[in-house]
Amino acid sequence: MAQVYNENPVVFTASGSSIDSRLKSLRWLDDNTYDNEDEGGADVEPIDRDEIFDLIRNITDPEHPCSLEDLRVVSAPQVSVNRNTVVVEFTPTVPHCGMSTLIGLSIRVRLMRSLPARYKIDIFLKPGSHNSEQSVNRQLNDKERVAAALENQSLLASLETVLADVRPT
Amino acid sequence: MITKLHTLEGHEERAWQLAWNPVKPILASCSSDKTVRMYAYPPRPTPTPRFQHLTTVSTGHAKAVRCLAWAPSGKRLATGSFDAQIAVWEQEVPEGDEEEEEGGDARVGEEEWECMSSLEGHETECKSVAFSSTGGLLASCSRDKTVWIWEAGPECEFEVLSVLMEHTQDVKYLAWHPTDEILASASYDDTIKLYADDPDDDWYPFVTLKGHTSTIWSLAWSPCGDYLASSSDDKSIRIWTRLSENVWETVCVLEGVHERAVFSVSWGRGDKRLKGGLGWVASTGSDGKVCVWEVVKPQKKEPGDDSPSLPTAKLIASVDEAHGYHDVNCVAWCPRVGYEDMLATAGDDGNVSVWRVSRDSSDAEETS
Repeated sequence: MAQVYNENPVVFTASGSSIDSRLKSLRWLDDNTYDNEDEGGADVEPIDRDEIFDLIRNITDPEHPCSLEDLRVVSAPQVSVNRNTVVVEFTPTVPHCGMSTLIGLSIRVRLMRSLPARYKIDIFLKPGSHNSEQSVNRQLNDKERVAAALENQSLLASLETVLADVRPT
Repeated sequence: MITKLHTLEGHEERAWQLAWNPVKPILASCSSDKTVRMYAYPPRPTPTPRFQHLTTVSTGHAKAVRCLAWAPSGKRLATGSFDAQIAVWEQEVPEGDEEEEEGGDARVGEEEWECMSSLEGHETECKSVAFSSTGGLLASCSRDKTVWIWEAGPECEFEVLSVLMEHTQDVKYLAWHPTDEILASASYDDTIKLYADDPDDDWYPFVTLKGHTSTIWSLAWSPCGDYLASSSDDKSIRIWTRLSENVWETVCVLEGVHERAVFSVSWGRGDKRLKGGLGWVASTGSDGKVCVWEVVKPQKKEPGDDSPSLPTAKLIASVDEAHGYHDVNCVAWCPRVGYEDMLATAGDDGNVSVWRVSRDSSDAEETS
């Protein structure tokens, strides 16, 4: 990564997470737990915003050894879940951030790998946060482009790097 | 009403597209698993046709097989891949066996499909391939923003006739006019372009259709050739027609039904008994719904009424969760006589499903 788009990002302290919620974020949500809504009835809780936020908060920023949460690229209020649709908004640290597509893709891939397959995932930049907002949004939500990107070995390698969480356990 | 006849399982990854052979009773599908699967069904219409797996072609494409198209002869198949290549396939016909297969039956599956030609030229993912109505031309398009027109020789040799660089973004889909040498292309730049051949010069775009507000995923000409349907990420389907020389307008917008991107449209002959009927448009997409719209051009009310008679479309049947919670990537009507009410869909679950459509009974009197 030759060009650094933001050399000195403001690092915010990650909100203290209790051991309970830390532990929760360790286990990926999987189909075995959540796919049996019909049979499970009342004792299966639907996946909520905080659980989804837990999945993406520790993704590593492509330019800094910080998490997306540390840099306030993602936050819990920017996640919403409505039935089987998950919408994640994220905020690049600078409006010309050339890493936005990679960050957005890493959020999508993390959710694709972690959530039950029934969830449709939409990823958007925070409105007004980026110079090429529309074009980045479009790429991130174009299924064909995402599929092709995930067959691109060098891009996949960059993705795996940021998907190795900042705070692995 | 849309009733499922079969679920054809087998692809190991997402099924992107399917194509009915125009001559032989074969259905083919392609997938991210880099294969093409073919199924045979009875040549003569039956109420519940059986589908039988014929063969799985390992294409050798290095990445997902995104698209496929049959030549009008039914003897040639083109595949396009995210590896930027196009392959053309034929079956090796045994000596002395060449003339007998008109109307064909299931024995068509016995010979291996072989890659006869590999077309290189696109820089990035090939998204769509299509043969012209005579089979003499093959068109391909890519994320590299170009549309290529290839001339198809009898020995499966292909020569580039034209490289069209008219779109400003990825070209997503191509559709040849059912009879004329007119090609339509749909793009990520929200426009559709129509091209014709200038006999003294090169292929050129003669009109740009604007109206969709996001990526256009697919196109389908009406069987009569007078209308073009397009489906978009903007959740709508538009029907376009030529109002005068090089003036094309939207005459119908089908919206408010699909809740997410509409990935595919197909225009079948529909119910031929219907007066002014232009056929049935099937649509599907990321919301997992399959919808069938009946398009009708109203008869002139008064003699001497000069106002143009514009078609209208009505939703006559739909099914939710056609592939469970998965996206549905493609829908296509069966072209075979007697099977006009049969369509197939391809989904992210890797399945191809076959469906039969009947008008809901409350509408029945309108056809009689």
